[in-house]
Amino acid sequence: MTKMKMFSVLTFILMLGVSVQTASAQNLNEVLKKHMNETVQLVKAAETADEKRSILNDSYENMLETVRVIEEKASLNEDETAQLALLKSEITDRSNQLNGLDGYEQISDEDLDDYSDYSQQSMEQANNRTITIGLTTALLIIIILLLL
Amino acid sequence: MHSRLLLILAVLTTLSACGLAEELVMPVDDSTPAKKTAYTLIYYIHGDSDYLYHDSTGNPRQADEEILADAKMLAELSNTGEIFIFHQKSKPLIGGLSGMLYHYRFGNREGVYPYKPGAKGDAFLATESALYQNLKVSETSDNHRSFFLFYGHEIPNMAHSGYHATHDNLEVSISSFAEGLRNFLNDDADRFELILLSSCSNGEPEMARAVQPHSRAMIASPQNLHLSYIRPLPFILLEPKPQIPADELAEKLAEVSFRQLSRTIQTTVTISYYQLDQASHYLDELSDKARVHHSRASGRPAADKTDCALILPGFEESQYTAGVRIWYKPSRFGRAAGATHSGWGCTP
Repeated sequence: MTKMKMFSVLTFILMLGVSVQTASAQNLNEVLKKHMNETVQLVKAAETADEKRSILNDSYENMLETVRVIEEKASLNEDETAQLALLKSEITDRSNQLNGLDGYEQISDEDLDDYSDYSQQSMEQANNRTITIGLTTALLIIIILLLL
Repeated sequence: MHSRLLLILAVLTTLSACGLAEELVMPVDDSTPAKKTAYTLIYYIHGDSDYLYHDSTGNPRQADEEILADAKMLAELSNTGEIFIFHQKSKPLIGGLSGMLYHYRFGNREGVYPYKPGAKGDAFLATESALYQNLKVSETSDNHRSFFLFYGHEIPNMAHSGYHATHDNLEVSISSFAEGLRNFLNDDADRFELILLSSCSNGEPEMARAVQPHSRAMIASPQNLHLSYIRPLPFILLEPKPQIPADELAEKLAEVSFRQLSRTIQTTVTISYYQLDQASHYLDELSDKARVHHSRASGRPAADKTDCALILPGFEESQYTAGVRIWYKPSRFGRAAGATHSGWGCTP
């Protein structure tokens, strides 16, 4: 491994370490809220409807992948398992409406910015969803949300 | 004095945008404060969980900190009220002191008291009510009025773990909340004039039944409520209009927040006002129906509440809407919702 490559890898691990420390101090919902906020900003900055759709679809897919990881890796109590199932169902529902599946009409091009707001705001309600994730799972989630 | 004027201007600017400024005639002389307390506001602001949200430009906000700032500002503007602000934080001081009480009287901060919620095995709100009973002044006016404001996540029907991030043993449920409310009152005949529940889905029959012995009225959302919340600013109307009817005050609270939320939020916006005494003749029956339906539907994940009229067998709109006023805007997206709302939330 060249010195440059080694430096890059070490820097990456260090950055992940910082992110994981943050993630491990929060619950899953908080991590996803930050991710969704970044998604919304990207959607609003995108110039074409195709780009906006693609950003939203990638975001939903990445969040569903994190749910799958948690289902496999995390040790959850009964409440958390129920909340995770609900979260999965809600993200799937958002994705279905965006793409006109499961009885929905597809979201029109001019509504994509508002729809991204809706997706974010539905995650930021005053209901209580606490899904505690361990350090290893948090690391995997950060990688999924950042890199996929 | 100068800073107070600036604060008054800030509130006036906000209320002006909401069409309320014309009703305000602010007191101008605070050199001779009233001898007796005209009203008491008790805030419980829960921050010991995930209260992150983002504004329309993507800036992160902490909902509890925003309401705390509103509450302190209103407390500093008050010339005739006594205000208690309990803030349960997510980052405890040494010794688990995650609670902070800010006590104001006549616009002056009387003290700031760190405390440990649930100390000595206390139930939910018991530590707070004990502090309140110790610190409150006894000199109140003949027409003294009391209000309770709760800001936090949904108070669940049944206690479960995880409501507080740092005090997992402190059980929060509708019954522990109602019992906690009672401990703030002087005796069984004493009642709050209004309680405001700025949380998701607590505009429900079981909550109304539980708090009705302790409050004449309630504002709450029967469905999800965004973390930008029901803001308390209209309580400033108690200064120029100390005897403003509770109905009028409640409607201002609901209208101002409904307008603000409707402007910025794409999800469903629902705020209900319940005159609990007018609803008392059917609360037991409606609450029982909701409970039976909930138990039959058990097994589903913690689903969001929806309009009782849509899911509760035998729900007679004409029978169960006495004393209820609803501010409702259906979501633009998601499954199609009804064009109207009964004002009551039920678990599907």
